[in-house]
Amino acid sequence: MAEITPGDVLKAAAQAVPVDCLANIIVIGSLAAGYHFFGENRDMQIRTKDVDCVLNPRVEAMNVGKNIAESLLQAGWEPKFADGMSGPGTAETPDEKLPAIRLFPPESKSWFIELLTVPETEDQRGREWTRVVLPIGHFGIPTFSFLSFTAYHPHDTPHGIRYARPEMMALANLLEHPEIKPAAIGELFEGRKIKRSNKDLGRVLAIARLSHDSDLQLWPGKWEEALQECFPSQCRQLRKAAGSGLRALIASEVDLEQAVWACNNGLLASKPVTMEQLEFTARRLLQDVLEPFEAGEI
Amino acid sequence: MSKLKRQRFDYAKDNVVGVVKSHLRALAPLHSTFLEIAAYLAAHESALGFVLIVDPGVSEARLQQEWQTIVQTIRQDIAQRMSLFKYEKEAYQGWPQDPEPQVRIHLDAALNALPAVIRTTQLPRPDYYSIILKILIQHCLTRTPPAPLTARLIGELAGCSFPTVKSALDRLNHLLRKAPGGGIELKRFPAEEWQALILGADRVRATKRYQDRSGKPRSPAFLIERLAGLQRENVAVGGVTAALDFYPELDLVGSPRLDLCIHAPGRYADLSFIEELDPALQESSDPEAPVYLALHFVRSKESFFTEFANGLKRAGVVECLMDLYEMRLPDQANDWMNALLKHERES
Repeated sequence: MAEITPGDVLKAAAQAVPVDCLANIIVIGSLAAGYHFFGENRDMQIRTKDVDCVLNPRVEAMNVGKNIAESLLQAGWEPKFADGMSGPGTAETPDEKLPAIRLFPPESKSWFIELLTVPETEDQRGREWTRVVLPIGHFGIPTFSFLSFTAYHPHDTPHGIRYARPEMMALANLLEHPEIKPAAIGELFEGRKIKRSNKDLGRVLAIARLSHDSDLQLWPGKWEEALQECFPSQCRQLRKAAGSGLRALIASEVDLEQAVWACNNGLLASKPVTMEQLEFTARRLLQDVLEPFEAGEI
Repeated sequence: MSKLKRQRFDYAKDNVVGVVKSHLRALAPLHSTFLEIAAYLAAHESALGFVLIVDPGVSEARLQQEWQTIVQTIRQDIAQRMSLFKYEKEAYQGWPQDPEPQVRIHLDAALNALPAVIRTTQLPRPDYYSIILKILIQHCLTRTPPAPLTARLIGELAGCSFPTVKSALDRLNHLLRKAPGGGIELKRFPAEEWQALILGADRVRATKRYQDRSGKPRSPAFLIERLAGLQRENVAVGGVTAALDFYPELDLVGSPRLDLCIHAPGRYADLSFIEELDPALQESSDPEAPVYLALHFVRSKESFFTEFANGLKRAGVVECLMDLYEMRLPDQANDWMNALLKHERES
């Protein structure tokens, strides 16, 4: 995985997509967090290859996604297929087997854009796919249960593209992983197979670590507002389980080690941590943010 | 399980039961505790049981020996599901082995569920000579308390008996005189005794030093803000922060560490607030490790705490001066002390 300067890649992505689509895109993931904390600082690089773009609102997502993909393909961008996939799907391909829209820029294979969207309702759980038919074949735009948090009051950038608030990405990941699920991420991560839960919960800790203590204290209140807006009928049960995945992570040396690996080969590439340091980052987050949030002490 | 917990165990969760004890004087009660646990484990085949001893007050060798005796008297298949743990200086040790992370979760939960009085640290006997010397110096520098410093008042402030006061005053007799308004006072600042006090400060104040385990230490300002939220009446901010509040002319801009004083006139002190301040703080005996929090115990009955403008407790002048010396800031400490002495002479 290449080391990139978040500001450079965000700018390149913003310049590549059609201007009238920019308002519908919210960049999430390592790049968004990296841009938030390091901005244009070339001394602070992160390791990532995917520029995850959430398309919002959902009703416009399919048209916007199609528009962006066609525009990029015409400009010479190349599709990237996951391991085991050789090309686009067809009309016969089931939705859940469709390849995601992942596109390399013409001049580089060090990063690619991937399109996602927000869930249609607050009741969706797990991953769902929506079919998009492009001139080169059938593709899918995935959505995950808690991606709606990433579209909650995103930050603006001077490049016209917006990015998700780090604390909202953290909340989405915490709620997505109330336990350490056995499923590994699809591709090797820096040569290793690691669990999706460990990578995503590691991201939560990386974001917490890069945040100022005074900002962390505001997270419970911000999370509560977002929860009320995005999941009004499920606030209580979601709030109660928010920290359980993190507790499971620090209780398992094997899982914590994977989270450290993911952090040090991702968002914390310029500020690597030890297992002990990440464990205590987690303990602080649990005590200062998650316990008051879970208890509704906002 | 909840019924059992009320009856016999301090902790019962997820098929794990535990009993927590603290400050043991004798090990005999451990046997009956383990027998109770054994009886429960005999009736619950997959259950685990533990005894956790907080600040045991007995040696590791004795605990080891006791554990051997216990396992020899209990059926092997049951003994294999039992453990003995001690919790001391914020670390666990266990028999037959130290706790795995999964077990630690249960131990932490058992510890956190305890009343504060059990989660305490046992303190050495107070050094009343040093306490009385500090009271005299406090009076010499700040005229507090304002009342005439009689032997009786000194005893009340220090929290010790008249013979103890007399013994200390006899040692300091060459430095004392009758005060014009009654009582006694120091003839002059006791430079030699002060130096000795500084040299023995660690012992006198039972200082604990904490290092940061997160790799991202929190600032003293953040910890102070957190302390204010805890509303602990017996914990005061000392060090550079308090010194600058007392004497803004001090040639200091800040400190990378926080000094706190805890008023602990008894034999035990509840230090659970340290984890509430920051779970990444860990007591350290490594002299090379950077210190982010120094905690000093004020053993006299009177704390000499005052308040900052925001109501947070502020440690006494003598404690703050000792903090500056400990931080190797003798020039600043001397400047402040000279200013205090000058002020006293002029008033």
